[in-house]
Amino acid sequence: MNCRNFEAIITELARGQMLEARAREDAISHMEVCKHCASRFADEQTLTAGLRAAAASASVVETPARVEAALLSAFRQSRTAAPSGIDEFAGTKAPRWSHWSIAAAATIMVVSAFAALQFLINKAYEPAPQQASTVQPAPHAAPTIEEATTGQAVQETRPGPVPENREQTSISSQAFPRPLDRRQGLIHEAGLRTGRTPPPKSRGTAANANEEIATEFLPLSYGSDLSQLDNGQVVRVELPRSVLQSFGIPINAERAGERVKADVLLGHDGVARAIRFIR
Amino acid sequence: MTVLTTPSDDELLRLMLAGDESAFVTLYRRRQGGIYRFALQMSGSPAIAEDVTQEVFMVLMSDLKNYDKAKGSLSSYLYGIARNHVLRSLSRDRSFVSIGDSYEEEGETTHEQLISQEDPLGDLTRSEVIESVRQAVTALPAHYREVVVLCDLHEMSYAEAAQILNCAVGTIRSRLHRARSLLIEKLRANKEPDTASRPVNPARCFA
Repeated sequence: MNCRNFEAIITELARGQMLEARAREDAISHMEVCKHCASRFADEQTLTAGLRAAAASASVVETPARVEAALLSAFRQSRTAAPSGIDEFAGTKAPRWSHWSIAAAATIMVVSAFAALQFLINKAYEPAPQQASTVQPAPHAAPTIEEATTGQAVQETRPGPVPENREQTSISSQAFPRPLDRRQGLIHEAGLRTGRTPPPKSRGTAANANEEIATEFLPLSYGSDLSQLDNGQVVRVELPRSVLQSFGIPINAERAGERVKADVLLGHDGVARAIRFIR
Repeated sequence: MTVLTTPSDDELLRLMLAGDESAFVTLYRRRQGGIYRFALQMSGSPAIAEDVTQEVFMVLMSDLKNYDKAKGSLSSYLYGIARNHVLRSLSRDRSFVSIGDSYEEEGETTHEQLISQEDPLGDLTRSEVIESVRQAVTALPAHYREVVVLCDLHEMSYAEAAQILNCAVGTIRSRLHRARSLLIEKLRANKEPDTASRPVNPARCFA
């Protein structure tokens, strides 16, 4: 064995690792004749001893207890959020198709939610017997389509005779159009709904029971003079209650998600000029 | 007669993922010491070691997609995460001065230069040796330091270290050899400041 060969195994030799018996014997023989390699080996052995002493002294070092407490807390939270993660174990990767199935399920959920929302909206516009008695439908009126957009259910209106219960509103100008025919339902269901005439009730009784209270018409654009308006339409809509806030009307935050009825005054050009809220 | 068996890491992990808190605690207590010490010996900073240990077990709790037990043990997986976090922390902080890679550029260490005349390591007291060794290890370049920490301080085999560091066993072996030579030089330089500037050139005898 020469010094180069000795150097190649000196680390294993000094660390006491497994070596071929022959190689070990050769290395020991080499050290007997080579002072440099013997000294080098002594340094390596000393280093090994130093490293083992350092390892032994560090073996008592542990993570501070607060780390365990924090992790335990996180573990409990994660268990609350996700009861079981066992499928993720041992590198079991979700098959590729599962992503597609998740996407498909999400799509189905969105479509279902949309359908349910539509159903609820339609339900909300089902003609209630009391409402039918308070507002006189105009039999001659052909439906004007107002699209429901951005969650606002807009109803169809048509000029016609003023129902008595509308006189309580604070519209002072007789030039204002009168709230008219209130046809129920959304546009695409208008045909279906026309056949569903609510059962007639005693008009006087119903009027007392369902008396509507309305705010004044609030201009929608700054400086618009409503008295100058001599023609237009009033459209009954339902809006999120939170809209009241934008008109400076205080609302109960807990009921912000509920809907509130309103009449929108449209000019002859179709532009909304004013709104009043109905209770 | 009842036979008490210690659950394996994988078994504990399975229980832990099923929501068994005691399995998590057992697994944590079994593995935290090694991870913390590794991070501490790599960084020299208890704060970094604490953060890294916490991060390693957070990963264990939340994201096990990358763990494949066919590729290695859970312990190796955890060490691998710890190593990545330590290196990231060190590259951010750069608060520790390393010996530098100039050693490699200057060529191999002279055999004669590695031989001390007065056995400087031998006369250190035990605590001095420990402190000197610890400082010398911390001052090594990261790729040498991690090999010394795993193989010498954590007494892992070359194969285990190779698995953690994601390299060949031969690479571990050669790095360890080189790292130990650097450590001897460093320790000698600490003991004999005048030898620190001695040029490092390999010379071999062929006796």
